[in-house]
Parts: sequence; structure tokens; C-alpha cells
Amino acid sequence: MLQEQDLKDRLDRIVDGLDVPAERIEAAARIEGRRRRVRRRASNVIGIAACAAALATVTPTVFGGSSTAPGFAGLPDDGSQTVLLGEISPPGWWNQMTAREMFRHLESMLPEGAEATEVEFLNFDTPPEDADEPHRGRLLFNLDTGSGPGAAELMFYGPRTSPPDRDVEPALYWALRCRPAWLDCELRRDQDGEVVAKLMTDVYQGVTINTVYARGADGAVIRAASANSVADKWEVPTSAPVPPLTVEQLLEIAQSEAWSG
Amino acid sequence: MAIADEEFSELAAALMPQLYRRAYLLTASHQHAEDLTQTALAKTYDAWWRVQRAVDPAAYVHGILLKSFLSERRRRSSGELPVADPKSEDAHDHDLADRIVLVDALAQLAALDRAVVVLRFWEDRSVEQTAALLNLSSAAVRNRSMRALKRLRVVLEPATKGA
Repeated sequence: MLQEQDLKDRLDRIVDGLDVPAERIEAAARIEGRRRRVRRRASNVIGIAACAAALATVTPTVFGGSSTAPGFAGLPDDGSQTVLLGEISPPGWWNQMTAREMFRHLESMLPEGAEATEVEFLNFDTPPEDADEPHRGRLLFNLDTGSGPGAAELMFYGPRTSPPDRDVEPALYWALRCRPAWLDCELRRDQDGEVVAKLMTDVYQGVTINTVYARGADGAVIRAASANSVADKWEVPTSAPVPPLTVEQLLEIAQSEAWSG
Repeated sequence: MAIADEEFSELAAALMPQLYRRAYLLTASHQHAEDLTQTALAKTYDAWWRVQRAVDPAAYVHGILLKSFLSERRRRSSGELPVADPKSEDAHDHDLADRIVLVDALAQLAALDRAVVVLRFWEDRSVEQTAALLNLSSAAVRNRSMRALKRLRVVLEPATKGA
């Protein structure tokens, strides 16, 4: 019978001979790290600018002071914030609504009898010491609407959010386009011919993933997706014949006015 | 190169082998291990001032890697299709059969169960330490440990007997 020590020995043997691409990883990490730092700093500037604008409005009334906004003393000065001020998403409903609040809205939109489980309210994408930070603008859960268990995700993209593999560009630009290689990709337009949503279905090794991107308020985009898999990253094995939500159901969810308040 | 970059490079070089090994066992994939290690080090670079002030910078960076794994494990944030692992196992493996069987067995576990296996059995952490790191109760860690071992036995023992 497999004993704990035997398992440890076998795990050690697996990793002992690993070829680690250290230089490549370190170089890529430094580039990504710089990008993260620049975005975070620029985001801080925008957040403080928003607060400053609010203070500038309130101060004269409450304290009888001048309406001059506070300066940005103390912020890192690497010259990057000026360039990037308009290139990331400012604070808004897309990055402020908590996962719990999103789920509260979503529950009423789910089909009758649907059972949501393993709802991920906390954000693990934070420094180790921040244990209980809630997710904001992103909701991930498992769902069974009667055809078997699957997974679903709802995510908001601010007006200047870049996709994972591309540079910063308006969310509406990249989210509402079909690439030629995507065979099952449909654009929905409004009466003026403006694209308001993209509906996609991917099938990979039997796992079907339905995805909808919809135009939200203020230039933001809402992504709703569902798969017939509860595995990591929605890969094999499948957990049901079909995803728990169809693209039309996802579209209805994504286009709800509840998200922008 | 700035002083901070040099310090980052030194820390990354020192931690890389163990970070990558941990990432590989957590993800059971070279491609995902590389992504996870890169993400953890990028966050380390971004939070360098915190890392420098940490009592144990190595533990801090390993904490970032684990949290990144927990964060990414269910995320599928683009419509892109997954691609095959570009690094074929047979390209650089000395103990091919054993590695493939065990990595496949690990890959069949749920992500959290795999994390429990790595922390409990590879890193020799206690139930309580594992529970704290994974934000689980001690009972949940025990249950997941038992379940994971049971599943690994099913997959591994025929291979062991046949070897």
C-alpha cells in the first residue's frame, strides 16, 4: 500500500530531475513585474485624484477652505503615471462591486431550481498577509441547473482593461470582436448597427464553454461564461452533457442593468 | 541594472529551483508551472518593498506562489483554447515512466487536494500549517489528505506492482 514516506520519495524523484528555465522565467517576471508596478501606481494616482476631486468639492463647504486639490506628494515619481493615467480603468462599478454583492444580484437571474455551490467570494490574488480580501468585479462558482454540475464565471472589465495576452486597449475594442479562427462566434448589434455583445461556444476535448461579452455602461464590458466542467480552468473531464447556462441565458445575465447600478 | 533589480535577480535565482518544483507539483504541468512561477516572481517584483521588509523573504515569495495558485486554479479568463504542453516529457526525462504515472495521478486530483498533498507529504507540513496556508479547517485538510491518498493509491499501485 502507498505509504506517506513512499509518496514523498516519489514526489522528490519527480522534481529532482526537472529542467528549470530559470533565465526565461526571471526575465519575463521582471517585465511583468514592472508592468504590474506601473499599473498599480497609475491606479493609485487615479484613486487619489478621485478622492482629491471629491475633497475639493467638499472642503470649501465644510471647512471654508480653498478649492485647490491636494497635491500628489509622496507618490512614487518614475514618470510613468502621466503616460498611463488614461490607459487603465478608473474606479467604478467594474472594480468595486464585491463578489458577494454580485452573487446577490445574480441569484434572482438564475433558472428556477438552479443550485450554486463553491462560490468564490475571497480574492487569493493578494499579498500573503491580506487573507480576507473580497473579490471585486469577479464571481466564480459551480452551478447545476438540472443537466448536471458545471462551472460559471461573471467578470467585469473596466473601460481600459487589457486582456491577459495583449497591451492596454479599450475593453470594448478587444472584447466585442470575433477572431477569424473562432468558428462559433456571433456578434449581436443594436438598431444602429453597433455591436453590443459577442456570443461564443468553444468545444475542447468534450468540454463545451459558452461565453458572452456584453457592452456595459460607461465603456465597461461584462463577461459571462459557463462550462460543463468543474475541473481546474474548466478542462477535462466533463461533468455534464452541456454547460449549466446557454449563451442566451448568459447574454441575459451579462446585459442586466443590475451590474452598473 | 538598478540595485533593486540586482537584488531581485539574486533572490529569484536563489529561490527559482524550489519555486518551480513546487509549482510543477501543484499544477502537474511544465507550462502551468512556468506561468505560475513567473506570476509569483512578477508579484514579488511589484511588491519588492514588502518582500524586503518580510521576516523571511523566501517564505513570503512561496506564500505568493501558493496564493497565486489558489487564485488561478479556477480562473479561465479568456476565450482562448488551452494548448498542449509544449515541453514533451520525453525530451528531458530520466525516469520517464514513474514521472508520467505520478504526474498524471496528481493531475487527476482536485487542485486543492493536490495542494494538500504537496504541502503535507512533499513539504512535510503539519495538518494545522497546511490548513492555515490553504484557508481550510484542519478537518478539511485531513479529509482531503485521506481522499487524495486513496485516489493516488488506486492509480499508482497497479503501476508499482507492474514495475
